[in-house]
Amino acid sequence: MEFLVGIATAAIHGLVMVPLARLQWRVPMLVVQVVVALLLHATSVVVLMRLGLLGEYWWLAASFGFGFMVYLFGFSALYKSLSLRILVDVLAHDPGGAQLEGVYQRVIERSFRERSEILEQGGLVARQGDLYAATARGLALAGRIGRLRTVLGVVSGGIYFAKRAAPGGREAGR
Amino acid sequence: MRVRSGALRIGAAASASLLLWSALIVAWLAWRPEAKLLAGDAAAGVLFIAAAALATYSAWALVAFGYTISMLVDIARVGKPVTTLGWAAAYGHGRGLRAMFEDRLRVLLAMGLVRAEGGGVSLRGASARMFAKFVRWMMHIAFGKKA
Repeated sequence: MEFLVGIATAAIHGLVMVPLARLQWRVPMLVVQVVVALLLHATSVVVLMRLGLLGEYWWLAASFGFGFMVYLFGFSALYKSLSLRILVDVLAHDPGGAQLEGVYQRVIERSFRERSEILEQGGLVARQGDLYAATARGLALAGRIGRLRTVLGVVSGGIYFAKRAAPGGREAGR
Repeated sequence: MRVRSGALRIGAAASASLLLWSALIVAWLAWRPEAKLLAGDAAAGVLFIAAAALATYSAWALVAFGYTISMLVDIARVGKPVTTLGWAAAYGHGRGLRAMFEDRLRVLLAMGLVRAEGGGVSLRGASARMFAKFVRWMMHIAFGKKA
């Protein structure tokens, strides 16, 4: 029973998030996801207790946690993955295919603009005319991320196949 | 031994955890032969480890490959005000935004979803087309017009 309820609650969470993910939130989407998940999990615990059906709590927690993480993994890919956005853009130009330059402008440059706005709105980057610079808060956060990357041995700098992409991108000369 | 790939590291950690969990169950049964092993406990342990592996990988991927995070780290690394073009050139420790585009494209090429020829890119076959339509449909359901 606990396993069924745990997985069912994770499925309900996915359904509840469909309308909620379409709204604009002041807090990050991950926070919304976690808060909704905790509320639903607490509700499932209370309902099972009231019905006298809660035997092993950790069976319920483990199954709900697993279902929630699978959902979150898929949601994150749809929400942020640039590879999937490139794929969907190519689909929009099917069957003839798309020009690489067009895909670059529509997906990568557009995302770059959107994310620079997010950093600006978050007070991590400041803009003066055409120039951008990290704020004191941005520098502090970047420093923490840099140290975390060092501890974890991350050398990719946001590139999956880092060894194949040599420093000195083509933008540098433009 | 040092494993560079984050996915391999987390896979190895999850496998080691599963082995440890199995060993603990065997040890428990050996120590208390009269104890009844609940299959639910064993299954819950496996689900717990799988959830932890997914959570760890998600956090790892965000720190290592996150687009917005990398943009922030790179503009901080430059250390002076830059234009949009300069910021794009600084991406990925100076590899540039186009290198990142080629990198993401390489993921799709490696998965056999697209083919790139003569400055163009197209879907590779019926299964790639079906998968792309599924992704577009899921994006539409999940985010509506925001997608």
